[in-house]
Amino acid sequence: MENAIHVMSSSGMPALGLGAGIPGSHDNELIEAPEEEEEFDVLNDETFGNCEGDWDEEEHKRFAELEGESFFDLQPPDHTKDSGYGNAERSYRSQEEFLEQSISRLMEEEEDDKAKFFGKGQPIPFSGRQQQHGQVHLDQLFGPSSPPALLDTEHLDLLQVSPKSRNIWGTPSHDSQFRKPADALRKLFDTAKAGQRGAPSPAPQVYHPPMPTQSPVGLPQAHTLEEIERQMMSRSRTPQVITAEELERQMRGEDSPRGEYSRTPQVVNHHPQIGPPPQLPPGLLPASALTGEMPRSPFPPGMPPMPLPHHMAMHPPMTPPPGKPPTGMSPINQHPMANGRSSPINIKGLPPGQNLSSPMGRSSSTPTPPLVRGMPPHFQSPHPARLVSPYSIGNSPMAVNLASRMMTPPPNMPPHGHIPHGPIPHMPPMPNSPMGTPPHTRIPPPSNMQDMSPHSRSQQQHHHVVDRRQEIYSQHGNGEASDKHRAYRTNYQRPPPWQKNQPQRRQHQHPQQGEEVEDEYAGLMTQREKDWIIKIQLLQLNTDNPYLDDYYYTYYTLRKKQEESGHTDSMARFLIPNFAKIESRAYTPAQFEGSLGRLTTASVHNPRHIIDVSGGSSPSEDSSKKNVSKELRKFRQLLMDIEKGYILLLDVDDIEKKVFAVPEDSRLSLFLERHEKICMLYQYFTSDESIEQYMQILSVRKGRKLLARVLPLFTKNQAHVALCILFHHMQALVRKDAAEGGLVSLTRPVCRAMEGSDLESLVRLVNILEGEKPPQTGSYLQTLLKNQFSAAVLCGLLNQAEQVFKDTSPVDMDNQLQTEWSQFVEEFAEGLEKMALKDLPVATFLLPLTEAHLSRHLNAQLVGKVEEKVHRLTTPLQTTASSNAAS
Amino acid sequence: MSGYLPGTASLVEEIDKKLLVVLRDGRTLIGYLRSIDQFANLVLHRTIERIHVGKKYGDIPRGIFIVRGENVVLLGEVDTENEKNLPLEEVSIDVILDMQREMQIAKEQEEERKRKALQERGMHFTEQPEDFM
Repeated sequence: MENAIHVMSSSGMPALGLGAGIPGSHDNELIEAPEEEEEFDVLNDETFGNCEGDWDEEEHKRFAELEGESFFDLQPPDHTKDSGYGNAERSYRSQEEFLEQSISRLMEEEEDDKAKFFGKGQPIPFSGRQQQHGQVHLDQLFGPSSPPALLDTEHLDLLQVSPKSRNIWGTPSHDSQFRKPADALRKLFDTAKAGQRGAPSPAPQVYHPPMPTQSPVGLPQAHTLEEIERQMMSRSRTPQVITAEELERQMRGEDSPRGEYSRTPQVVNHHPQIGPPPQLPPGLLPASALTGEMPRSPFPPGMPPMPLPHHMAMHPPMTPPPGKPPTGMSPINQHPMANGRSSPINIKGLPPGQNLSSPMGRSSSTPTPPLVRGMPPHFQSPHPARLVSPYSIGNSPMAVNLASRMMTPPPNMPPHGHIPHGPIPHMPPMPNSPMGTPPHTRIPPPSNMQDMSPHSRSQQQHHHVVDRRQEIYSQHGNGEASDKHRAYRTNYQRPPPWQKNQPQRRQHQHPQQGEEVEDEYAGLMTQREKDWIIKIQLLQLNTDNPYLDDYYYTYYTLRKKQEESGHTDSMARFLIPNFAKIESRAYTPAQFEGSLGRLTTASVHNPRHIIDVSGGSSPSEDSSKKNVSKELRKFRQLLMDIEKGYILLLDVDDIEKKVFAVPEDSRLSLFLERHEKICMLYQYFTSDESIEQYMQILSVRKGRKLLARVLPLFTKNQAHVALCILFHHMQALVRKDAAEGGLVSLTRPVCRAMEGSDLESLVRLVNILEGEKPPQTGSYLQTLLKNQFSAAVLCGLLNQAEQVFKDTSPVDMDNQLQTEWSQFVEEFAEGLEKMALKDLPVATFLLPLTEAHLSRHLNAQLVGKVEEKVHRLTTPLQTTASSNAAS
Repeated sequence: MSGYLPGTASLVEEIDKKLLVVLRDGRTLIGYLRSIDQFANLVLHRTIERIHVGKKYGDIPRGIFIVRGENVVLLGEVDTENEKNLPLEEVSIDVILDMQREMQIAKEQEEERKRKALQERGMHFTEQPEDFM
């Protein structure tokens, strides 16, 4: 950008200077210029500038002179050229040009004051860039890439300086023209303040600068120092919240809903006395507006309580400070917080990087000392101002504080005499930079207090600045913090105590300054922004199925809740709030009728279908499949089927969990869904095709497990059918299972499934067991009895039968069935008798009634023979051992 | 677990704390976390880049860093009290950079040696180092 500027300045139109290359300056021309290049005469008057009023040759000559001086040799400006300024304004086409001119003047004047100013610590824009100062400014003024804050900073620096010298000679009319940016700043500031105070400032308005609205800079009105101070003082209510958008609007000179702020006449009055005029450069105003309205001010705890003590201390010395008009001081008095802030701002407003107040910037705890160090108030103020005002949405109180703070130092430093004005001008730039500039003097919002280090928190508490903070906090409903701060406010006396306290509060070994700097930067992120982030993160946590997405956490919280609520109730179901929306899940995109083709409306929820990526089979895949062994393929398919069965099972599980979380009306659909899934499972096990595969399914451990888990879900009938099929395969299963014994997993479910069966079912089952062909009675039992599972199943059958016999009177039972059953029991006993005890498997499942059943059907002799064996089969290990011992 | 987000963590609590951040390119930054966003982009303040070589380390002050979230491997809070009692020895930046360069050279030589050895045995491969560390 700077290169560009250079080019432009050498473009041969020195009078226009930097404005030449700026788009804004050509606005009017462009509007009038013909579209086609051929159409306009390159040699016409317009191009060559013979038009009346296009520009004033004389003026431009003067400007060229000035420009040359300001840019390249910082000579004292020729103030006699002031008279030409009014004309110059006319000749300028846009605000930018005007600004540019004023900036260049400011630069020149700034050099004048340099001697007075603190030479060491200059604001960054000043230091090391003097030669290009004007260019830099213009760049930032008119370049699209310049952040507003920086722009305003430059502005502030310049404007702050210039009015001082300007007003000495200038008349209000002149000054008004010159100070247009300042006026705009003031206007903005006023507006902001008016909104807070609800009443116009008592001071009559000196001038009403007709601020051209073209300026992208949006120069707001400047405010005199006292005016600002007064406003701040008078404002005792909590600052209003001003959004970033509002600020921007204000920056642009629009009327804020808060109303017009009266301008203060003091602008002119105080200039002779006070150094840097309160006219806030454009950037400054928003800052002050911010300060006035910020509910939250992320002032670092390091913000020295100076403001308040200063304020207090200043009341008496109001008059002493030489050259300080009482009115100037009054704002300070009125606004305790402003006072509190001013000195600290001065002291440590500067970023560490700036040499201006390296000692100052660091020592937030010593507002006075740094001031005493002889930093020229002028420079002090700008820097702190710039640094101090942290711009973020909730920062306005901060800015106000800054302004007030800046005002207070002057009283504290009689020798300097013109401190207050310095800081203020610099305030505005801060707000404009969205967290861009380090908020040196930020007080972390109350909510931030929680996350602040204890050390910083304690510091905070001790700071009077909290006065303002208290307001901010109360806005946030942080009563606790505000109480603390209120207390501190009253206790707070003067800077020295604050200074002394500072080291005590430090818990870390860090150097005082380092800590303060860090504290100043703390709170860059306002609570609002934090909440925003958290909101986004919470949104990401939303889930329809917490059991699926976040299983462990879900169960963890469930368990915790259970522990808390007591151990009585069963596992509390996890209530998922978003389950209520379970019904609206299906989203069908809007479809148009009567349209040719299918119109698609793509949205976030219904993105455009660009490519169809499905697991479809490609020709190559098929061919490769053929190479694989058929059996292997089949086996794989089997495994896949089992997996599908599992998925169904899991879905059923999920539904069961969901049921409790969902309101009553939606439960029906869930139940249906569940039923449907169970039926599918049933189909899987009982359909004709599956029956063929039955053996295979059950030879896979997972298949068995699946069956075991599914059996309880079946209805009576379904279970019975399943059992029939199982029994049908029993022999084969047992034979296969001889080695592995994996069928045992089915024992319990099978027995459970048998519970509740009636005699008929039992008989049927037994018949199935016996097989199709006429049985060699009892022989089948041999194999069955050897296997633990089948033996258990048999005993289970008997068990259930006993249950049936117990429950139903003999009259109700079918005779034939009874006969058949008795026959079975006898066979069973005989088969059992034939087997040696040691061959019998040990029971894992208690079947208490089997023995009794046998007694019922068999004669005592037979019963006696098999008693032990039966016992072994039906009683789990521990009791068997005892029985063994007994016998 | 924070109060904000039950069951998970958020960087919101780490704000204004001194953190040690390890980046995907192997750099270690230590700075105060000033701001974050939903992508875990970080704004680090008063950042120093700490280079470790063996038992020595050197700090390079860097100022303000803005780190894109995807480049962060991990981050953790620095124990400011015990920060002083590191078992490592601090050296000047130049020294540590020299050491780092030497280490890098040694590593490269080793890699080269390995590559040659493998090549002799018939294995050719090119490795694209992605995140390293």
